[in-house]
Amino acid sequence: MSKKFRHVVTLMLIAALFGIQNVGAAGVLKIGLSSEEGTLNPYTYKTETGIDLVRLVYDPLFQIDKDLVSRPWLVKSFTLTENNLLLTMKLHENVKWHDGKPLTSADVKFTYEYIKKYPKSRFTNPAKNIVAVEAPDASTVVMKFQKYLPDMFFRPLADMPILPKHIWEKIDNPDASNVTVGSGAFMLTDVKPGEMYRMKANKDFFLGAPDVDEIVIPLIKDTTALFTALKAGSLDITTRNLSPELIRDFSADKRLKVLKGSGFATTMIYFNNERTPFDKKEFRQALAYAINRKEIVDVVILGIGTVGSMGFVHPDLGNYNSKINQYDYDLEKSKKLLDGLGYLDKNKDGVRERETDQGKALELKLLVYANNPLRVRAAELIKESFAKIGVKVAIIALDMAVVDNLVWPDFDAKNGRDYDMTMWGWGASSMNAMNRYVEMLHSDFARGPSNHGAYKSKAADAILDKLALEVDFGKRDALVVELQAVLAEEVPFVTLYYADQYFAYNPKAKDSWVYQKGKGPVTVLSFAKKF
Amino acid sequence: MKTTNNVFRLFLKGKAGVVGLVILSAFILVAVFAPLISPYPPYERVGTPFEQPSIKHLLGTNDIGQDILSEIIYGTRISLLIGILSAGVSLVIGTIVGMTAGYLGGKVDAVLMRAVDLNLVIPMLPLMILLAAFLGPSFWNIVLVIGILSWASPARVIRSQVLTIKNKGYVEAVEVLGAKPFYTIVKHILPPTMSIIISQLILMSSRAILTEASLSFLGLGDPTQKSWGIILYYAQARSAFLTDAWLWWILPPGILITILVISFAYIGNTLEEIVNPRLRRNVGK
Repeated sequence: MSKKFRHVVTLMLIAALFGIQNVGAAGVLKIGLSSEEGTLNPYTYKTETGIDLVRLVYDPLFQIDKDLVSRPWLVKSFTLTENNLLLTMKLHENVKWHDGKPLTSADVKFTYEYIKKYPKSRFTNPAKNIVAVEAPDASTVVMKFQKYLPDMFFRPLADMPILPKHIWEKIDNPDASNVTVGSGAFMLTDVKPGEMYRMKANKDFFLGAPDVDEIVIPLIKDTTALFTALKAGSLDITTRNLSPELIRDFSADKRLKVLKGSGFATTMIYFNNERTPFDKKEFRQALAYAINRKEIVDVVILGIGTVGSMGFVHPDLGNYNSKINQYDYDLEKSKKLLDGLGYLDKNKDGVRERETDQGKALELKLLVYANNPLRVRAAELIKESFAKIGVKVAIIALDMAVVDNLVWPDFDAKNGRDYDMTMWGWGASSMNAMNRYVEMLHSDFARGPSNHGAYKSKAADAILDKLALEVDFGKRDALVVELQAVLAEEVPFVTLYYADQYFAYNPKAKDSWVYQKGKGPVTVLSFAKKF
Repeated sequence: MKTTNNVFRLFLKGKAGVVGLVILSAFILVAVFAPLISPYPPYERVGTPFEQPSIKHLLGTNDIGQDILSEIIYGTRISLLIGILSAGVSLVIGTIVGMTAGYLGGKVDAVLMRAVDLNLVIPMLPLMILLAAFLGPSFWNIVLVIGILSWASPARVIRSQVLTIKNKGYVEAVEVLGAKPFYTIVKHILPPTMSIIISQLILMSSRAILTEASLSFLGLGDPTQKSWGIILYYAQARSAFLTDAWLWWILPPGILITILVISFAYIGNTLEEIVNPRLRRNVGK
């Protein structure tokens, strides 16, 4: 309810927000933000965009680079010994907090102890694997791990921002904290949650002073208002990528330049694998053959994206399996599978039925977020093509919270589910993250809390069990390749597309942007020359 | 008491009312004969997405290649239907409240009228937005939200009409003869109030159409329906304001909403001037 309320209030305030005006001075970069991010520290940010902004202010030990490789950041060099269980890190020596105090190993030790004391699930869960952190001297950190998990160089090491001990040791309610001192490329000078943030360049930044003097980040939730402001020159770039229908217009604009990259966020259709008729793999395969994913990409996102792979993994990734069955649109194959399952249209009303169901027509409900027009449109196209194989679809557009509650109550698959099919999507961070694959697909809900399609497969479980513990990157990729073959055979869901991302920016304000794969340009990578 | 005939003659004297009636009839004809008039079925994708207006598609195509003109023609049905249905709901509530308060008087009247006052001072659109967001997007929820939140002003008008009728000799006579209140209301008070109820129904319809368009535009309507408000919602969501598309995607439904609302208002106002006891002196002799 509170989310809805905020949405409503936003709508009513659009007019007011339109007026975010030029701040004007040279060296100022204006970034349009579309999500609210609290007081913008590691405990109060709200979304993935928020943590990207947090990283402008705070530094983690490692950083994920533009090709999604985890590389040392605050760390200058490291060694991994004792069966990969002891990580010894040397920190850069010239790093200072924004208040002038030096950043030392004591801060690192403090941070990793603090997140265990005051949980924030994103950071705390991966940090549970750390048994002890020692700081033998000011620039050395020694971390002892319980077991070697391949993902630890991503989370927590490249994820948890290091906090200044002298400030945070006094904070015992971090979720309500409003401290802003970090060590990163920018210092927060003005924080107005729900309105705007202002940051000043940190000239002493250990990776070199950033190329802009100041960043102003106004919050503009309404997409139209956001892009109007960009076009009118009141903004220099936005955290949100351009809507597909705007790309032609913005590309033609001489004052703006456009960055393009593949996006790893997915748009999918999920089946409730434990509900009849979806509990039969042949039924799900039949539906997959009847979805014209190419047409959905062409019509809904105007061809600006990649057709979804039946194995979920984006074709641009190294561990993409190009040999799996992609279920190219084929109504005849689909009909044959449905015939084989006993779904026939004996009464010739255009909808199939089955004798064992007392001739009840095959009518399925498809849930979709009412406030996501692209997904509603994709659902309409799916309905259209399912009608051609004699499967009737009722699209039910509901409020986001209501859909979530039917599909994934309390965001934990063990709480059950009540739906036939639903339009869905996972964010870019779910792509190529081994722990996410386990969470999304494991049939044991304790390990697969995100498996809200109730997909149960021994073959997939066996691969996921290995994947969770595999250390060798080559072997992990081989497992992911295998996993895709299983998914393509069993079709727990269909990945419809990965939308490409376009970002327009004003080159006069800043022209050197680094595009992080699957994410975009507004990250600290665009401001760290020496990384 | 006026006969229907009398009302009709007075109505024809007011030019605005006649203009409104002509326009409304045109809209109703379009709604009824939508399948014959519209160039394409509204749910069929007949062009490429975001086509500009052409001979084939007079108002271009929408974001998935459906013909916008056909959408608008079919949208007349939904918009009119939602308008009249929600006005109906509000009138049923308004009539019951107005009749009860006016006829029973006393404490019941006082309580009901305070409820009406309360309802009238609350800013309606924000409250409707909240309620619609709470109930979720669907055709019937919109009808319900508009209906249950806009009964106050018809209730008040109907009450004042009931008050005048109640003191007429024939009503008092029936009461003296021992008629039950329900019988008196239905048999002797409702019929002469009918004309005022109809004028209120028409006025409320125009408001309801506007409200439906506002709610749908804000994304609180059912996005799989094709009302004018939903057409506007998609136009806004797919950035028509940022491209030239607003000319053929936003202006036409916007203008049609305005015209339809005005036609209802013309008819309703003219009727009200004739039948409302408080406004009656303005018309006729």
